[in-house]
Amino acid sequence: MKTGPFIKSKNSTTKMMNQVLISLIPIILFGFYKHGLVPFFQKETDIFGMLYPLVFVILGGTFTYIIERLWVEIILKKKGKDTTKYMGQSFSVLPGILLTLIVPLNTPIWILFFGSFATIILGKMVYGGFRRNIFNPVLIGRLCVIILYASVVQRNIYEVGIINDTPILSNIMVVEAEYKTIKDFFLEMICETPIILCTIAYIYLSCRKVIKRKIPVIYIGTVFLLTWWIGHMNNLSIWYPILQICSGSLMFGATFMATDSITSPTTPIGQVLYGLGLGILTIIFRFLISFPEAVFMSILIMNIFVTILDMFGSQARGKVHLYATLFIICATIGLLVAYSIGKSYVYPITIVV
Amino acid sequence: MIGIKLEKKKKISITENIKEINAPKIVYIPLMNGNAQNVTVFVKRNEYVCKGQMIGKIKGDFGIPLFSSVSGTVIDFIEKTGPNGLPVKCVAIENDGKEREEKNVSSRTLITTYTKDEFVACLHDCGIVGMGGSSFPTYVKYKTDTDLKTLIVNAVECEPYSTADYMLLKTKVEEILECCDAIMEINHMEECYIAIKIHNDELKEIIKTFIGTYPKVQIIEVPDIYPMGWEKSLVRYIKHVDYKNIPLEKGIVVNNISTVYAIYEALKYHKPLIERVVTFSGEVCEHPQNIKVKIGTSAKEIIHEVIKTTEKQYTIVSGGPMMGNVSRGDDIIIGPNVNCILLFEDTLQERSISCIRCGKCVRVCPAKIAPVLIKDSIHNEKRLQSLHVNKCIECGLCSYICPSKIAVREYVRKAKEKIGKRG
Repeated sequence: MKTGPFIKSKNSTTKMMNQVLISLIPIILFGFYKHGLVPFFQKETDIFGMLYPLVFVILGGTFTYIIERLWVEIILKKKGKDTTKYMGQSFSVLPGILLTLIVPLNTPIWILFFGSFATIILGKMVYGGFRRNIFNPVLIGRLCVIILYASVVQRNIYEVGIINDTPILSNIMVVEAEYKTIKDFFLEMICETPIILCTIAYIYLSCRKVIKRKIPVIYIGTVFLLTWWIGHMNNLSIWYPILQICSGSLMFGATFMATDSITSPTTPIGQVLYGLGLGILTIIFRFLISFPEAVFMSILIMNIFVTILDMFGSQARGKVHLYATLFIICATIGLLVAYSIGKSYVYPITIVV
Repeated sequence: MIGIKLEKKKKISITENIKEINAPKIVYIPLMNGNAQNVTVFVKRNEYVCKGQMIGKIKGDFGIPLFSSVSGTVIDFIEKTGPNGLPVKCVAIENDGKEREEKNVSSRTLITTYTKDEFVACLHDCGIVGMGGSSFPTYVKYKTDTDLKTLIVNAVECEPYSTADYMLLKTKVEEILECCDAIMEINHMEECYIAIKIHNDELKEIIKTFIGTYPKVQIIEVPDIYPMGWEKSLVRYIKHVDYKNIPLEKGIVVNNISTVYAIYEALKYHKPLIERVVTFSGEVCEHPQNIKVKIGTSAKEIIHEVIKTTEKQYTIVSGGPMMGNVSRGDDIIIGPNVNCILLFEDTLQERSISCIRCGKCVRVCPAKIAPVLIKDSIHNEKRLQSLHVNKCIECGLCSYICPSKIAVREYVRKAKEKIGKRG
């Protein structure tokens, strides 16, 4: 029975997913340039080493596609559902590519395979297929890779991935040394990591209205404000908060991981509170608990609260007092945390380059 | 203002004048108003009725009389597809072509001399209902002790394709302004706003030539977004206030411009609501235009004789493309609230894929509810209670904007039924 609007809008889900893939291409090419072409021209690797980053990325995408296809053929065929139609709506290549961008580049291939398995099966399928998962599947896959990597390869897990090249500046207070100011450090990082490309990707995707625009802005804004206050209490310049937001995977995580459609809130108020919570958790993980990769962990933890945030968001729309109360509570918690961090640091550690 | 700019598609149905056609051979007066079908019928088979004679009455608090739009003999009571797309019982009257009216019809030249009670009685006796699509009996809006301060005349016509209000305003601007002034005097109102869409310079010039006579009437231009013609949006934009259920709480009355013209004819000639201007448009039409039709005309006849189509199979929609109802048969009877009859190609509906929780439906909803959460909890009645399902105005923007092409509005409609059942 035909119903509903008889004029059609031009947006479609397939187009949106394709646009996310397109915005990732500059970042992949940058990684290829950084880890493939530059060592090749400096005669450090052979031609296979040069092409390896691209092969790595394509392999990740292929693994996730194959695993999902196998699962769909074996499990869903029994129930008699149409598999080609299901694969068309399921977008299984995107998590694989995102996974390869956030794991160390020298991960053994079999560990990558297990990571893809965790992404698709543990992250998506056990919840009942596309669009019913609670946790971001890419981050579940990354967790699996890191656990296997740390126990099998037994090296320092701060190895280089395609996107993050800097040592994680989580809980190290950077002070201006004689030969290097924070500003120099920042300028060096601009050239080393794809921060500018992430910003361009965010602008492109938000103009096309593909991702949820509020979340990265509020997330990065919160981190900036709180680290500025911590720096202010320890007499550091404005370059300290700028360095903090450009370090680690904050830019990449905020643009591509935190805005994952299925695992982030749908209501505008829910999105603002989500960004706020993410910012506060990132600060706690970076300064107080010294957890590696604070960004990805805080996204996984906030994923738990998404349903509650959505229910709150649907009640509070139009009721300013409800919204303002919770916002003020969260903001106060954040400020208190930042204050205690700022006051309690007694021994600043200088960076040795 | 929350909403979206839609493609207008209005140029195709704008012509020099509103077309007048011969009255049809048989009219089918639908025995319903809006969704109410509890009618007392006053005529029998083979009885002769005059044009404008009362043939039935809707019972209840919002009761309103129903009229015959032609003079002739009652043939039978037949079931036809009514204005909301569903089957409804109709009184079939065979037109004898004489246009004989009842005698003793009172009329007044100076329409400002009505008292408030006479005004309300006249609106009730002439069967004036909301002609913008709501079918709400107009006399109920004025039958109140609250102080009425503002009259807003809604000439926004935000749905695409529809140009009936525009053509009416172009041709009958003097009468409409006279009526606005009369309504203000009778109800002791202070101000009147005529709301039109921005960038409509031609219309603005036409109104401006006559508006000098009525200093209390002003033109106000509203943004070109859908659904700007919704009562709440208009009141929020023009008066910057919010009301809970009806604009009467703030002393405001909103009337569609076709309704205002019908009020004029009721006050001046005591003429009941028996005809209206309807836009016939759509990609399948050969000659899209605005036509003055009698209530009870079958749309199929007009399409075959006057409009003519380029395809043999098409879908008939009564109302605009966003909120209109599809006909379940191949015909639709025109009622007082049908402002538009659209013909579209008979294509299959696009297949929908799974929801990706992008949140666009939440962002675009003018009633500020969350359609995606309603869709997810469609089986959980307790949760539906807390999601404000009854605030939905069924504007269709959630279904329009969904990138997965899910019929989101149908889920909200289903949820409304579920909640309604439990009371």
